[in-house]
Amino acid sequence: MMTIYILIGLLNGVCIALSRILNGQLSGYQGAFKASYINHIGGFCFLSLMALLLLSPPQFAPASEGLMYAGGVIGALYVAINSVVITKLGSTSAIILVISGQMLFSLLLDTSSHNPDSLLMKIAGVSLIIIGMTIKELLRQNSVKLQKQNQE
Amino acid sequence: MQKINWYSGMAVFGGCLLALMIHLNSQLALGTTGLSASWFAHGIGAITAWILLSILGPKRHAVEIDERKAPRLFYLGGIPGAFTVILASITVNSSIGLSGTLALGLIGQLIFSLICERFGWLQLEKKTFSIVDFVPIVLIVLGSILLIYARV
Repeated sequence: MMTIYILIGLLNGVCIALSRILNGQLSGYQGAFKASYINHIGGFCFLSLMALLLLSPPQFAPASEGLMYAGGVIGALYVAINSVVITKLGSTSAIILVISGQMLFSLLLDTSSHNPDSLLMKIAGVSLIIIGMTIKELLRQNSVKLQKQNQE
Repeated sequence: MQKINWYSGMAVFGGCLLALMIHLNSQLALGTTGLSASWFAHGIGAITAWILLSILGPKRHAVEIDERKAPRLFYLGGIPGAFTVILASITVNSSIGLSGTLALGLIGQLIFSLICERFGWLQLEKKTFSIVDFVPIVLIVLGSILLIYARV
Protein backbone atom coordinates (compact mmCIF):
# COMPACT_ATOMS: atom_id res chain seq x y z
CA MET A 1 0.00 0.00 0.00
CA MET A 2 2.89 2.31 0.89
CA THR A 3 4.34 1.87 -2.63
CA ILE A 4 1.08 3.09 -4.18
CA TYR A 5 1.15 6.25 -2.04
CA ILE A 6 4.79 6.86 -2.98
CA LEU A 7 3.88 6.52 -6.67
CA ILE A 8 0.92 8.90 -6.24
CA GLY A 9 3.26 11.35 -4.45
CA LEU A 10 5.71 11.22 -7.37
CA LEU A 11 2.86 11.53 -9.89
CA ASN A 12 1.76 14.63 -7.98
CA GLY A 13 5.18 16.15 -8.66
CA VAL A 14 5.00 15.12 -12.34
CA CYS A 15 1.64 16.91 -12.64
CA ILE A 16 3.05 20.08 -11.01
CA ALA A 17 6.01 20.13 -13.43
CA LEU A 18 3.82 19.28 -16.44
CA SER A 19 1.47 22.14 -15.57
CA ARG A 20 4.37 24.59 -15.16
CA ILE A 21 6.07 23.54 -18.42
CA LEU A 22 2.83 23.69 -20.47
CA ASN A 23 2.07 27.16 -19.09
CA GLY A 24 5.59 28.33 -19.81
CA GLN A 25 5.34 27.06 -23.40
CA LEU A 26 1.90 28.64 -23.87
CA SER A 27 3.25 31.98 -22.66
CA GLY A 28 5.67 31.90 -25.60
CA TYR A 29 2.66 32.05 -27.92
CA GLN A 30 0.13 34.02 -25.89
CA GLY A 31 2.07 36.06 -23.31
CA ALA A 32 2.42 35.37 -19.59
CA PHE A 33 -0.86 36.87 -18.36
CA LYS A 34 -2.97 35.25 -21.09
CA ALA A 35 -1.29 31.93 -20.25
CA SER A 36 -2.10 32.46 -16.56
CA TYR A 37 -5.73 33.26 -17.46
CA ILE A 38 -6.08 30.15 -19.64
CA ASN A 39 -4.43 28.04 -16.93
CA HIS A 40 -6.87 29.20 -14.26
CA ILE A 41 -9.94 28.77 -16.50
CA GLY A 42 -8.79 25.23 -17.38
CA GLY A 43 -8.20 24.34 -13.74
CA PHE A 44 -11.51 25.88 -12.71
CA CYS A 45 -13.47 23.85 -15.29
CA PHE A 46 -11.64 20.66 -14.30
CA LEU A 47 -12.34 21.19 -10.58
CA SER A 48 -16.00 22.05 -11.30
CA LEU A 49 -16.29 18.73 -13.14
CA MET A 50 -14.60 16.92 -10.23
CA ALA A 51 -16.96 18.58 -7.74
CA LEU A 52 -19.90 17.33 -9.83
CA LEU A 53 -18.51 13.80 -10.17
CA LEU A 54 -17.60 13.53 -6.49
CA LEU A 55 -20.94 15.12 -5.54
CA SER A 56 -19.17 17.61 -3.28
CA PRO A 57 -20.43 21.12 -4.05
CA PRO A 58 -17.92 23.88 -3.19
CA GLN A 59 -18.51 25.30 0.29
CA PHE A 60 -18.18 28.95 1.17
CA ALA A 61 -15.81 29.82 3.98
CA PRO A 62 -17.12 32.25 6.62
CA ALA A 63 -17.03 35.86 5.42
CA SER A 64 -14.51 36.84 8.11
CA GLU A 65 -11.96 34.65 6.36
CA GLY A 66 -12.18 36.72 3.20
CA LEU A 67 -8.46 37.43 3.28
CA MET A 68 -7.79 33.80 2.52
CA TYR A 69 -9.27 34.31 -0.94
CA ALA A 70 -6.17 36.41 -1.59
CA GLY A 71 -4.52 33.06 -2.37
CA GLY A 72 -6.20 33.11 -5.79
CA VAL A 73 -4.92 36.60 -6.56
CA ILE A 74 -1.37 35.59 -5.66
CA GLY A 75 -1.79 32.42 -7.75
CA ALA A 76 -2.55 34.45 -10.89
CA LEU A 77 0.68 36.43 -10.41
CA TYR A 78 2.70 33.35 -9.53
CA VAL A 79 1.68 31.46 -12.68
CA ALA A 80 2.59 34.46 -14.87
CA ILE A 81 6.02 34.88 -13.22
CA ASN A 82 6.66 31.16 -13.40
CA SER A 83 5.92 31.07 -17.14
CA VAL A 84 8.42 33.85 -17.79
CA VAL A 85 11.22 32.25 -15.78
CA ILE A 86 10.65 28.80 -17.32
CA THR A 87 11.09 30.21 -20.83
CA LYS A 88 14.14 32.25 -19.79
CA LEU A 89 16.01 29.81 -17.54
CA GLY A 90 14.84 26.40 -18.76
CA SER A 91 12.42 24.23 -16.77
CA THR A 92 14.81 22.43 -14.40
CA SER A 93 16.68 25.61 -13.40
CA ALA A 94 13.43 27.50 -12.92
CA ILE A 95 11.89 24.69 -10.85
CA ILE A 96 14.92 24.35 -8.57
CA LEU A 97 15.00 28.11 -7.85
CA VAL A 98 11.24 28.28 -7.29
CA ILE A 99 11.56 25.39 -4.82
CA SER A 100 14.38 27.23 -3.00
CA GLY A 101 12.31 30.39 -2.64
CA GLN A 102 9.27 28.38 -1.60
CA MET A 103 11.13 26.42 1.09
CA LEU A 104 12.89 29.44 2.59
CA PHE A 105 9.76 31.60 2.61
CA SER A 106 7.51 28.91 4.08
CA LEU A 107 9.94 28.69 6.98
CA LEU A 108 9.18 32.37 7.70
CA LEU A 109 5.42 31.80 7.36
CA ASP A 110 5.39 28.77 9.63
CA THR A 111 5.03 30.18 13.11
CA SER A 112 3.26 27.18 14.60
CA SER A 113 6.26 25.04 15.49
CA HIS A 114 8.95 26.32 17.82
CA ASN A 115 10.46 23.00 18.60
CA PRO A 116 14.10 23.55 19.61
CA ASP A 117 14.98 20.00 18.53
CA SER A 118 14.24 20.87 14.92
CA LEU A 119 16.29 24.09 14.99
CA LEU A 120 19.48 22.31 13.95
CA MET A 121 17.66 20.62 11.06
CA LYS A 122 16.31 23.98 9.94
CA ILE A 123 19.74 25.63 10.04
CA ALA A 124 21.25 22.72 8.10
CA GLY A 125 18.38 22.81 5.57
CA VAL A 126 18.63 26.57 4.98
CA SER A 127 22.43 26.35 4.64
CA LEU A 128 22.24 23.52 2.07
CA ILE A 129 19.66 25.44 0.01
CA ILE A 130 21.68 28.68 0.07
CA ILE A 131 24.91 26.85 -0.84
CA GLY A 132 23.04 25.06 -3.64
CA MET A 133 21.63 28.34 -4.98
CA THR A 134 25.07 29.96 -4.89
CA ILE A 135 26.69 27.06 -6.78
CA LYS A 136 23.82 27.14 -9.28
CA GLU A 137 24.37 30.87 -9.93
CA LEU A 138 28.16 30.43 -10.22
CA LEU A 139 27.69 27.60 -12.73
CA ARG A 140 25.32 29.76 -14.77
CA GLN A 141 27.78 32.67 -14.80
CA ASN A 142 30.55 30.29 -15.82
CA SER A 143 28.54 28.88 -18.74
CA VAL A 144 27.66 32.42 -19.90
CA LYS A 145 31.37 33.29 -19.83
CA LEU A 146 32.26 30.15 -21.81
CA GLN A 147 29.60 30.93 -24.42
CA LYS A 148 31.01 34.44 -24.84
CA GLN A 149 34.54 33.07 -25.24
CA ASN A 150 33.36 30.61 -27.87
CA GLN A 151 31.67 33.38 -29.82
CA GLU A 152 34.83 35.49 -29.87
CA MET B 1 31.81 38.90 -10.38
CA GLN B 2 28.81 39.31 -12.63
CA LYS B 3 25.47 40.60 -11.47
CA ILE B 4 23.01 38.00 -10.25
CA ASN B 5 20.67 37.07 -13.06
CA TRP B 6 17.38 39.02 -12.98
CA TYR B 7 15.34 35.95 -13.94
CA SER B 8 16.99 33.81 -11.23
CA GLY B 9 15.86 36.41 -8.68
CA MET B 10 12.41 36.43 -10.22
CA ALA B 11 12.21 32.62 -9.90
CA VAL B 12 13.10 32.77 -6.19
CA PHE B 13 10.50 35.53 -5.72
CA GLY B 14 7.98 33.32 -7.54
CA GLY B 15 8.75 30.57 -5.02
CA CYS B 16 7.99 33.00 -2.15
CA LEU B 17 4.63 33.82 -3.77
CA LEU B 18 3.94 30.10 -4.14
CA ALA B 19 4.62 29.50 -0.43
CA LEU B 20 2.30 32.39 0.50
CA MET B 21 -0.40 31.09 -1.84
CA ILE B 22 -0.23 27.56 -0.43
CA HIS B 23 -0.30 29.00 3.12
CA LEU B 24 -3.46 31.01 2.41
CA ASN B 25 -5.16 28.23 0.42
CA SER B 26 -4.50 25.63 3.09
CA GLN B 27 -6.08 27.91 5.71
CA LEU B 28 -9.08 28.19 3.42
CA ALA B 29 -9.11 24.39 3.08
CA LEU B 30 -9.19 24.00 6.89
CA GLY B 31 -12.58 25.71 7.04
CA THR B 32 -13.94 23.87 4.00
CA THR B 33 -12.32 21.14 1.84
CA GLY B 34 -9.23 21.01 -0.37
CA LEU B 35 -11.41 20.82 -3.46
CA SER B 36 -13.53 23.88 -2.59
CA ALA B 37 -10.48 25.89 -1.55
CA SER B 38 -8.76 25.15 -4.85
CA TRP B 39 -11.98 25.76 -6.82
CA PHE B 40 -12.25 29.26 -5.28
CA ALA B 41 -8.54 29.92 -5.74
CA HIS B 42 -8.76 29.02 -9.45
CA GLY B 43 -11.92 31.10 -9.96
CA ILE B 44 -10.43 34.14 -8.25
CA GLY B 45 -7.12 33.55 -10.03
CA ALA B 46 -8.90 33.53 -13.40
CA ILE B 47 -10.66 36.83 -12.62
CA THR B 48 -7.38 38.38 -11.43
CA ALA B 49 -5.47 37.22 -14.52
CA TRP B 50 -8.28 38.58 -16.74
CA ILE B 51 -8.09 41.99 -15.00
CA LEU B 52 -4.28 42.07 -15.34
CA LEU B 53 -4.59 41.07 -18.98
CA SER B 54 -7.07 43.85 -19.74
CA ILE B 55 -4.99 46.49 -17.92
CA LEU B 56 -1.61 45.49 -19.29
CA GLY B 57 -2.73 44.33 -22.73
CA PRO B 58 -1.99 40.91 -24.23
CA LYS B 59 1.50 41.68 -25.54
CA ARG B 60 3.09 43.26 -22.48
CA HIS B 61 5.46 40.70 -21.02
CA ALA B 62 9.04 39.60 -21.01
CA VAL B 63 8.60 36.66 -23.39
CA GLU B 64 9.12 36.93 -27.15
CA ILE B 65 5.86 36.02 -28.83
CA ASP B 66 5.64 33.35 -31.47
CA GLU B 67 2.78 34.45 -33.74
CA ARG B 68 2.04 30.92 -34.94
CA LYS B 69 -0.71 28.88 -33.33
CA ALA B 70 0.29 27.10 -30.14
CA PRO B 71 -0.14 23.30 -30.06
CA ARG B 72 -3.46 22.42 -28.40
CA LEU B 73 -1.73 20.52 -25.61
CA PHE B 74 -0.19 23.77 -24.32
CA TYR B 75 -3.66 25.08 -23.43
CA LEU B 76 -4.26 22.23 -20.99
CA GLY B 77 -1.70 23.17 -18.30
CA GLY B 78 -4.44 24.03 -15.81
CA ILE B 79 -5.70 20.45 -15.73
CA PRO B 80 -2.62 18.68 -14.28
CA GLY B 81 -2.24 21.74 -12.02
CA ALA B 82 -5.72 21.25 -10.60
CA PHE B 83 -5.39 17.45 -10.54
CA THR B 84 -2.61 17.81 -7.94
CA VAL B 85 -5.30 18.90 -5.47
CA ILE B 86 -6.97 15.50 -5.78
CA LEU B 87 -3.66 13.57 -5.65
CA ALA B 88 -2.39 15.55 -2.66
CA SER B 89 -5.61 15.01 -0.75
CA ILE B 90 -5.10 11.24 -1.13
CA THR B 91 -1.45 11.20 0.02
CA VAL B 92 -1.68 13.82 2.81
CA ASN B 93 -4.16 11.62 4.65
CA SER B 94 -2.16 8.43 4.04
CA SER B 95 0.83 6.90 5.81
CA ILE B 96 3.27 9.21 3.96
CA GLY B 97 1.54 12.33 5.30
CA LEU B 98 2.11 15.98 4.43
CA SER B 99 5.90 15.77 4.63
CA GLY B 100 6.07 12.76 2.33
CA THR B 101 3.69 14.43 -0.11
CA LEU B 102 5.86 17.56 -0.25
CA ALA B 103 9.16 15.68 -0.50
CA LEU B 104 7.97 13.25 -3.21
CA GLY B 105 6.38 16.18 -5.04
CA LEU B 106 9.74 17.93 -5.30
CA ILE B 107 11.48 14.80 -6.51
CA GLY B 108 8.75 14.00 -9.04
CA GLN B 109 8.89 17.54 -10.45
CA LEU B 110 12.64 17.46 -10.91
CA ILE B 111 12.79 13.96 -12.44
CA PHE B 112 10.05 14.84 -14.95
CA SER B 113 11.63 18.19 -15.83
CA LEU B 114 15.10 16.63 -16.29
CA ILE B 115 13.68 13.96 -18.62
CA CYS B 116 11.70 16.54 -20.63
CA GLU B 117 14.75 18.77 -21.09
CA ARG B 118 17.13 15.89 -21.78
CA PHE B 119 14.93 14.55 -24.62
CA GLY B 120 13.46 17.87 -25.72
CA TRP B 121 9.88 16.81 -24.92
CA LEU B 122 7.06 19.37 -24.99
CA GLN B 123 9.15 21.48 -27.39
CA LEU B 124 11.66 22.31 -24.62
CA GLU B 125 15.19 23.18 -25.66
CA LYS B 126 17.31 19.98 -25.53
CA LYS B 127 19.93 20.02 -22.79
CA THR B 128 22.63 17.66 -21.63
CA PHE B 129 23.29 17.56 -17.91
CA SER B 130 26.75 16.92 -16.51
CA ILE B 131 27.50 15.62 -13.01
CA VAL B 132 28.32 19.19 -11.91
CA ASP B 133 24.78 20.30 -12.80
CA PHE B 134 23.42 17.82 -10.28
CA VAL B 135 25.44 19.27 -7.37
CA PRO B 136 23.12 22.26 -6.73
CA ILE B 137 20.03 20.12 -7.45
CA VAL B 138 21.03 17.50 -4.87
CA LEU B 139 21.97 20.14 -2.25
CA ILE B 140 18.69 22.02 -2.67
CA VAL B 141 16.61 18.82 -2.57
CA LEU B 142 18.40 17.61 0.59
CA GLY B 143 17.99 21.04 2.22
CA SER B 144 14.31 21.09 1.31
CA ILE B 145 13.71 17.60 2.70
CA LEU B 146 15.40 18.63 5.98
CA LEU B 147 13.13 21.69 6.22
CA ILE B 148 10.02 19.65 5.36
CA TYR B 149 10.72 17.07 8.07
CA ALA B 150 11.84 19.71 10.62
CA ARG B 151 8.31 21.10 10.59
CA VAL B 152 6.65 17.96 11.91
